[in-house]
Amino acid sequence: MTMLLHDRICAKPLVHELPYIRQYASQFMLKAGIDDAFNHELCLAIDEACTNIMIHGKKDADTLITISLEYHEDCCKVTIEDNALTFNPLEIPPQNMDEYFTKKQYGGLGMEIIRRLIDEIKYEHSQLHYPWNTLSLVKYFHTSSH
Amino acid sequence: MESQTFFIDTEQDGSAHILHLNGYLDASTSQILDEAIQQVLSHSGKNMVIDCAKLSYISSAGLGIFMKHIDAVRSAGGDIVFCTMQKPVFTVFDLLGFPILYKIVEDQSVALSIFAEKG
Repeated sequence: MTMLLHDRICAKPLVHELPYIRQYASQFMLKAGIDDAFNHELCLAIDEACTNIMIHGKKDADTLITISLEYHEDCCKVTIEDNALTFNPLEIPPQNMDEYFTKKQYGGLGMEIIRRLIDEIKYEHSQLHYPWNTLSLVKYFHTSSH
Repeated sequence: MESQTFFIDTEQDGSAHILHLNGYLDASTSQILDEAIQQVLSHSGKNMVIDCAKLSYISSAGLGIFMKHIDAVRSAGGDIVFCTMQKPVFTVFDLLGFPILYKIVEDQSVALSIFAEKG
């Protein structure tokens, strides 16, 4: 896996940061020459992952989310790290959408979107000096749904 | 970088309330939509056309607001119909199978005709 481009930003765990996170990711992919459809899908997955952290994590002054993007020959890899509360998004069970619609449920669709757009999802938690969550998303270029 | 704001223009056509969505609908802006739909419902409005012509982006937070209200709207004999959806927005609806639950039509006149037929 040859890395051709990489970049990283930090954001506060507040929902009003979402537009800036998406714009950062979108600009990165434009710079890499990645097409609009792939760009939109990966931005959406990043938005959903960060929203989960913002909703479920703490919002102390020292809480930060770091988003790293890597452009490889065959994929984009996103690493989202935070020191908010331990929250493993992979513990959210896959949604049965037929049941979801029948029961007219709402909420809880963010992880479902990530699962449907992203090829590889990994979560790690460490607690050395303080809690640290790492979510890795890999999306290959041949899998864009557009 | 362009500003990723969100706002809604509303108008009424017969029994239908048209909500023109503009911009980026995510977890930071979904409350605006929630309040707009609640306001229509509080005025006994039950037929809603959601004009997505100028909606550039939607995440699950936006989808969740429609799911939150659809039961109340349909229980009152109304519906939520979407029109003029851009491809990136339709992609998100389609990804989760939302076209099974909601009518999504090409343009506003078709959406309005659905409510006109219902009377």
